[in-house]
Amino acid sequence: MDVTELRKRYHAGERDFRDLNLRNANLNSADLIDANFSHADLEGTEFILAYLNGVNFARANLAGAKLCGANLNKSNLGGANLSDADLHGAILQGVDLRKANLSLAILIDANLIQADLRGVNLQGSDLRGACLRGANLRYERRIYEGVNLRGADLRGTDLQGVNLTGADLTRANLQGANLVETVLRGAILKQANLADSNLQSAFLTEADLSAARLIGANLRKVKLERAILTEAQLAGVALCDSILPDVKLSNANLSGADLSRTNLVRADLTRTDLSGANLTQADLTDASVARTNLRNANLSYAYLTRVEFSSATTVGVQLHGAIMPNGEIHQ
Amino acid sequence: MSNLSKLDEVVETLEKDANLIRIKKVMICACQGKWENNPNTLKNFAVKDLVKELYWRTQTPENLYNILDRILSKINKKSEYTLIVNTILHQVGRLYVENQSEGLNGQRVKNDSHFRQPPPFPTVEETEPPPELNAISSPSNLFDIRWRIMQYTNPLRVKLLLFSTLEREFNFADGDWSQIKLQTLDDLLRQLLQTFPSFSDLKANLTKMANYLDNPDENLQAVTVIAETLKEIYGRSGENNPGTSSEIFNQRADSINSQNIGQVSHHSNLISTEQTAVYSPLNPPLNSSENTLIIDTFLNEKLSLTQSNLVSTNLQTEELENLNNQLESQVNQLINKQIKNAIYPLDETWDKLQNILDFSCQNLPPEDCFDLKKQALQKFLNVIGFKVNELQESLNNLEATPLQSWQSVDFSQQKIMELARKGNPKAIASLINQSLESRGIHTQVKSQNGCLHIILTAEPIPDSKTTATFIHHKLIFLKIQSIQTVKIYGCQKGKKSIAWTQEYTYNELKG
Repeated sequence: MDVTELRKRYHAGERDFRDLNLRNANLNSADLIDANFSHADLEGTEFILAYLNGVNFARANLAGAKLCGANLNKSNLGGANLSDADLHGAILQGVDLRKANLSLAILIDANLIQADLRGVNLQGSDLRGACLRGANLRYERRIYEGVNLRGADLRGTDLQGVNLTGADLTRANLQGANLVETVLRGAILKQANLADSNLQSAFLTEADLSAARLIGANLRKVKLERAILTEAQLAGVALCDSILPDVKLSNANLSGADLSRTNLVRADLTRTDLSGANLTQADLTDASVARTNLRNANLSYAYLTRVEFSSATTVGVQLHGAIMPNGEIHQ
Repeated sequence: MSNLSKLDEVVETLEKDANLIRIKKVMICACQGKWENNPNTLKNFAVKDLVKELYWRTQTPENLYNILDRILSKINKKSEYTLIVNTILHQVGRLYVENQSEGLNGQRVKNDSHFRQPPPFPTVEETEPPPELNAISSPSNLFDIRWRIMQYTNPLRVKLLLFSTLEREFNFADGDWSQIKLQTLDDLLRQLLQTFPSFSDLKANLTKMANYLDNPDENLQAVTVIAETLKEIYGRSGENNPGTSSEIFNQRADSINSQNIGQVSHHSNLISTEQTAVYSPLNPPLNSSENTLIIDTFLNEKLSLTQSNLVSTNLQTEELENLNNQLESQVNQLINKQIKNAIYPLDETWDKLQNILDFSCQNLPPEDCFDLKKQALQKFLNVIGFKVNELQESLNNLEATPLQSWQSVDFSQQKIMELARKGNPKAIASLINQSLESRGIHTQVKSQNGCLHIILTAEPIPDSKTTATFIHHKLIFLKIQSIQTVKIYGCQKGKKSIAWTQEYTYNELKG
């Protein structure tokens, strides 16, 4: 079947185009609302600014297809192969993309609001400026794996409030992204770039942020229980009011960071650079500070119960009003 | 210090500039009024000649500034050329410093260097864009804007539209596709906000481009969404047209500049200003209690003023006494004449009746004659008295419903004018209504703290320019006392929101 025949048959009222083979066709600006293309082979086909509302593309092959600006509202792309597809500025609001392959896809400025993206593969995709508010990317045991976003470009992406539990964001670029209240429980953010991102009130419980770059990020009121932040770059970061019990911050750079009122109970601060950091009213009970650099840090009114300072660098530390390891209040 | 060495210095700096071609383009445009794109022709122009010509043409830094500003307002790629124009201003501006008073130019150059890169020129009023406008350029605030835009329109279409407006027409070629992928919607929106300091400019430019490109319907839908989303920002910055009516009142009260808000409708209730002096017979203006209620709630809510001193509709006796002497004497004359007309025949009839009674009773004995005559005359007087009572009653009724009488019965035009001059809102409303009612525009007027609020309601939103000018002329004609400002609002019938508002300072009108 060729394009003319497809258009003719669609016009005549036919909607069922299952298992269709139409590679590299030109369907720009086409109106194919509610058509059924499940299992169709549409590799490399162009759908620029096409109207594809409610279209069924389940398990279709759309590898390398051009879907820029296409309207895919309420369409079904479950299990579809969209690797290397161009979805620049496409409307994918509320779309079913479960277990779709979107590796290396272009999703710049795409509308992915409320889309179902469980178990999706977005490795190396370009999601700059895309909006994913209300999208579902949750890990579900034995049903959906964590979303694969390894090495994805998420600069300036809007992920506010999105559930990314268990997602793999290794080496992803999240610079300037909106991650306010985003759920990143148990997510892997190894070596990810989170510079200048906004993570206020985000949930990073048990997340792995080792060697992540977080300079200029907003980390106020973040939950980081048991998170791994070894070798993370956190110099000058605002972490005030965050909850970090049992956090691993060994070898991390927190020089000049604002850690006032944080909960660092049992935190691993081995070899952590906390020089010039503000730890006012921080709770460091049972924290490990072996070889920690606390030069010129401000520990006034901090709780230092059972903290063992013998190997830490404490030159110029301010301890006014702090509760010292022996339970005395420092004068 | 010789002028020449300074010139050489300037020329040298400009020639070293990486954007020399663009600098030349702008200077050629300033000198010759044409935009030169041919690289060979551009090469033939010597920078020195151009600087000299520009200098002689302009003479003052103000002129130079104005010319360059005008060029900038007309060209694309504003952000790039802003830099160019700043460079020229700075460099060529140095030449003037030598000739003129140090202070003025020193300040000028300083100002220029203060120009922020994006909206680089102080706008026409020489005001820097408010800081809020720059604040919104920060990505964190743009997330919400982007989210709202994406929900209601095609993101790619918005990008194509913005790209075409800001850069050049998008031609769907591979080169343009890769170019547009480099700029996210955020970047384009930020550029848009920087390029258009005013909301009306923004909307006009986008609409123009939307109509020009393919699929104008879809593009216009995108424009509407963009405008709706960005309106709030412009409104918030206080510099442009506010989005909600409540914000109208937060505007600077001293601004005489009229502002048209989102007036999409092109319906116009055209009114010629010559009509000012034409007075048709009184049309009873719609003054139902419902309308009064609307006007009251409207003003109380929106102005959040605690008390409304709605001028009493009752005609006060003081007001009657204050009628001008001419009118009073006229009325007196009229009354005297009517009294004469009424009393004289009454006397005559009385005498005549007496005579007839005397004549008919002459055969009767004098006592009977007297009784009969007295009875008959009493009867006559009773009927007259009854008639007088009737008149008295109607007079009483007249006093009891003065509102109706003042609107619909016989109130002379002069009297209304008199009241209008004193600032009586009812009178002003009825005067305006006389001319506008026939066009389907209903007027309500209220005066508060020296400010006259005029609300115009019509089926299609009344045309702001013509109606406002018309009313403005009418008010000048009236010379109302005790009014400092006039605010005119345009509303669509049946809707509470205000489509546009115009404000005038009344004292200036009088001048």
